[in-house]
Amino acid sequence: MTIKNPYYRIVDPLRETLDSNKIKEGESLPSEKNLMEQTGLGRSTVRKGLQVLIHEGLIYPIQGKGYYVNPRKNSEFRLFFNETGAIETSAEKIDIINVDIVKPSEQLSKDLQLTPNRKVVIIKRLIKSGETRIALDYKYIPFSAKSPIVEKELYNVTFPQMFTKEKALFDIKRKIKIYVSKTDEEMVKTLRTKIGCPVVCIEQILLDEDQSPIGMGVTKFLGEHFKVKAVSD
Amino acid sequence: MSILLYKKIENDIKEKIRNNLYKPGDKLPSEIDLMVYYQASKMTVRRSISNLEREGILYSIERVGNYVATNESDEYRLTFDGLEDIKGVDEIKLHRVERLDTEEEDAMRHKTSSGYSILVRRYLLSEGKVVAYNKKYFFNLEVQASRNEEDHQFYKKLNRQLSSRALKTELIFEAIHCPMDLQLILKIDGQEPLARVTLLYYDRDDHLIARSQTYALKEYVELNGYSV
Repeated sequence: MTIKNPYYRIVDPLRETLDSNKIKEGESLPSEKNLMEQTGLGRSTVRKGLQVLIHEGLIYPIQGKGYYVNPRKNSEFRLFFNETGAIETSAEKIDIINVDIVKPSEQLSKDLQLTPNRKVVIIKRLIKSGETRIALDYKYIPFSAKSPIVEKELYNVTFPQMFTKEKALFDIKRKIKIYVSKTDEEMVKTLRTKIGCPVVCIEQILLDEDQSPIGMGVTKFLGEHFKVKAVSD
Repeated sequence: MSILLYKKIENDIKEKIRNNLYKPGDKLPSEIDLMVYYQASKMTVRRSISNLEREGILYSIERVGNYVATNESDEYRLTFDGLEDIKGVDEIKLHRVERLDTEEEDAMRHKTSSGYSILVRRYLLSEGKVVAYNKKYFFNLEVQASRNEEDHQFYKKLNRQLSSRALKTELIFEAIHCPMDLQLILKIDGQEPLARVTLLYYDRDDHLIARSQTYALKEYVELNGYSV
C-alpha cells in the first residue's frame, strides 16, 4: 500500500460526493473553513486538495465566493445530421411517396400547438441509398392556403429548406430527439422489410424566432443501415 | 442607445435576407459597394461580414465575393451523460469484473502495456427491474488491483483514471436485435429491438482507452439536442 498525500483525505470524499451527484453542476462546495472542520485538515492541505480537483476540471473557483461544480466533461456531443445526406458514402435519393392534407392526431396537434380544426400537410418520402431502401421520412406542416406546397419543390430539400419562402434559414431553430422503435406495417410495405425490426427514429421540430413550432418531421431509419455518430467537443 | 455601425450592417443584411432581397445563393454587393452604401470603413464592413459568416448566414469565396448560405447548418448539440441518461435508473449494480487475455480481439487491436484489458459488467435497474446492461472495456490503463481489493473499489479506480485521461469521446447510437447473452438478463426475446449506446474514449495520443456499451430497453433511452 502506498502512502497517500494527506490532501487525499479531502480529495477522495469530495470526488465521491461529485461522482454521486450529491452536489450538482453549478452548485457550490462547502467553504474552506467548513471543509477544514469536517476533515480536521489545515487550510493549506484543504487548498491543495481543491487545487487537484480544479486541475482535473471537476470544480472551478470564483474569487471571494468559493468553489463551484463544473458541468460534466464529455456530456456534450456534436452531431451532424440532415436527412438528405444521412449516409456519407453512398449517393442518396429521395422519392416522394405522397403529399396529403389531413386532420392531425391529438398528439401532433399538441406538438405543433395548432388551433382546433387546423389541418396538416403530410409529406411522405422514401430515402434510398443506391437501390437499398433505408428510411421513411414524414414531414408535418400546418396547412396554410396562402402558401400551398408544390410537390416538385420537395424532392431533394431538407426540412428547413421547405420554409425558405416565408422564413430566412437563420431564423429557424431545430430541436432533435433520437430514439429506437420497430418497423410498423407501413414501413414493412414501403421499405420491403419484416415487421418488428429495429428502427432508429430521428424527430425534428422546427421553431421560428419566437420559439413556436412551425413543422415537425420524423425520419425512421432501418437499424441495419444506419447509426447515429457524434463526437464530444 | 446607439448601436455600433457593424451591428447595424449585420442587422440590415439579415433583414434583407428575411425580405428576400437577397436569396440563398445570391452574391452580395462588393465590399466597396457596401462601404459606400453603409458609409462605413473597410474594417467595419469586413467585421460585419465575418460575423455573419461565423453565424453561418454568409459564406465567402476568396477573391470572388460573399454569398448568402444555401444550407442551414446541420450541426446539433446533443447531451448524453453516460449512464445517467437511461431514464429512471435508480440503481447500478456491478455484475462482475473480468480480466481479458490478449486473445480477445480488442485487446489485440489496442495492445495494452500490461498485456490485458479489463471488462466491467453492470446492471442498470429501475425500481428493481433490469432496464439496461452496460459493458465497459478498459484498455491501456496502468491500474493494478491491490490484493483483496473489492471489485467496486477497483472499478472506481479505473474510472477515475479514465476521466483524467480521456480527451475525446465518440458516441454511437444504434437500434439492434437483442443479442443472445442479454435476452435472459433483460427478459426479452431476440426479436425485440434494443438501443445500444457506445461511447469510445480516446486519450491525447488518440489511442482508444475505453469502450462503454449500454444495451437498453428502447423505452428507456433517447438523445436530445438542439441546432447551433
